[in-house]
Amino acid sequence: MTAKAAARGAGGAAIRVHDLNYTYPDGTAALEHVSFEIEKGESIALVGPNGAGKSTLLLHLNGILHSTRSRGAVEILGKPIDPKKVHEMPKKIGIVFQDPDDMLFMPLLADDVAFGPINLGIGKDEVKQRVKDSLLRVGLAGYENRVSHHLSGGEKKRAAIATVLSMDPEIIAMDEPTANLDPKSRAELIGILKSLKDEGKTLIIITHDVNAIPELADRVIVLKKTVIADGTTREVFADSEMLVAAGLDVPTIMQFFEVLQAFGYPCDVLPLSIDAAVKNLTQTIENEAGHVHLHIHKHTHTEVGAVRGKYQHHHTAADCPE
Amino acid sequence: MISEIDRYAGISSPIHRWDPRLRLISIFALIFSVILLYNLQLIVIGMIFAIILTCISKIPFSFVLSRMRLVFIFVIPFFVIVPFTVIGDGVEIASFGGITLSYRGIEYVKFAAMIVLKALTAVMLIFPMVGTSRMDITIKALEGLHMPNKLVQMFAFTYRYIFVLDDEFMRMDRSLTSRGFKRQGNLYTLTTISKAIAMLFVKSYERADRVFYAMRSKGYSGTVATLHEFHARRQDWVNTAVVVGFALLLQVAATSGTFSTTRGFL
Repeated sequence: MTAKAAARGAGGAAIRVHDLNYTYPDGTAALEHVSFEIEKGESIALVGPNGAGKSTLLLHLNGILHSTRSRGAVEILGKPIDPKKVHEMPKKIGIVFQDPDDMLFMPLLADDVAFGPINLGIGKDEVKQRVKDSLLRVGLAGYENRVSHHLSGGEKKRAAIATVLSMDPEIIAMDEPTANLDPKSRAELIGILKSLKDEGKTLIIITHDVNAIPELADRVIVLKKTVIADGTTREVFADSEMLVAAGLDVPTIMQFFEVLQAFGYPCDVLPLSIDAAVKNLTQTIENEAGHVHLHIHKHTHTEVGAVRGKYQHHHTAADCPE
Repeated sequence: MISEIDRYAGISSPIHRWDPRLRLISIFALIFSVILLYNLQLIVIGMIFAIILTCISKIPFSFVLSRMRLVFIFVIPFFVIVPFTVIGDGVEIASFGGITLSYRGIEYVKFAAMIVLKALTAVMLIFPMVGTSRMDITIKALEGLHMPNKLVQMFAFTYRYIFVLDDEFMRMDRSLTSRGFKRQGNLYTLTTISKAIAMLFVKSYERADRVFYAMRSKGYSGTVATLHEFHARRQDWVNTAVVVGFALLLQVAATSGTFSTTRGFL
């Protein structure tokens, strides 16, 4: 895969998963022959429909879930996971769970943030410094003595991230960090994730928030019990047929520019984010001497209908006007 | 909604300023001392001391009394039960179906009063003991006292998740109400509520799993340590000497033979 080849130059593999299988205790298959590799410093979006095994996969990455069938299937920073040494994993990989109430289990926020570093055997003064720094990085400076169950949803999500940042792991895996947040909290959270990405942390982000993916991830892995697609963000979003079949979406802006194409807008590379769209429009208008030329001819409606139909999850004949 | 015993932890009083570790130990010793008494006069003295401590702590009496009401309802039946359950000789007043009431039984109303007063004193002392600092600090004080770590963890998790569970049950209750469920005194209400409680157990079990996963992900391997700093100053030791001294004094008085003892059911 081109993305992998490009990233391989950056350094060794951060995560290597080879033929990982997992069956729930009730006999349902959760993961089947999952294989992928993530290089150091890469930022990955892990997408897939509900119940596709994304969270289950995450719990395998630090050995919390394991079975005889998964032995040796997951390597972190070049070493296979030893299920007996799960408590040593947070040095390498930190996991942010979906429900922050599961992660904030101590009486005070400072205790929660200090929990990981203390377990790693870090000295008292260093732990205090890390608590302060981690809270500052997620925008919760001065929240040390707050009681977690009194925080708002957005604050809880950020606090959960701080409890992982304080362990300073090389890899951070997050389960739907932007879910259930109001637009402002969502924007703040995306800002935090971006800064982590810029710092060179290896990120795995499970998300349904397709509009945030272009900003956050270089590469997208689509999981539905097994890896059904793996490539750069653009490559994966280009395969609309596969995405729709898996019950997923592409960014709204990308769909919109595809509709514009039907109206005659000249565009070879569809923009995935608002930023890219602004750039694209500016360039096109400059190239066409100050104008954008759109038109309607006799095939336009058919073409628009075809574009819209492509992304329809339950399309009927009525949705695709002739 | 479960309201919190540490609601008045934010106010300032000599009890609030007392090192939580010493406060816990001292008042705990006092509770034990009162419970071991078998003389009504000494118990009343103990109760007066408890009332004084609660006054010093500035926790409003209305708050304390509202909490003690439940305990009161629980212990008040002893006044009725004890007179009927005294074994031994005595002049019978009445007998019906194997239950006898004797003059000796009536004398034992005093014993019932002791049970009730001891229970109320013990519960009242809980307020200056744990109501004067935030629960998290109390938990850290227990850790500072080298209480077994597993017990400290159980305390901490109970305190942290009781509110989450309460919220969860409230959400279920609201969702029942919003679909037309009304609590009535019939079997349907009982089965519905018991199903909701059963669901709460299942949900708690699953949450416990997820919390444990989260703890493991953060390097948990059996013990929990927190950052805490307590410094006992001279005033803290003075307080301790007063309260523990009083607890010892009660016991010395009880064993000196000056006060008669009434032990139960003999």
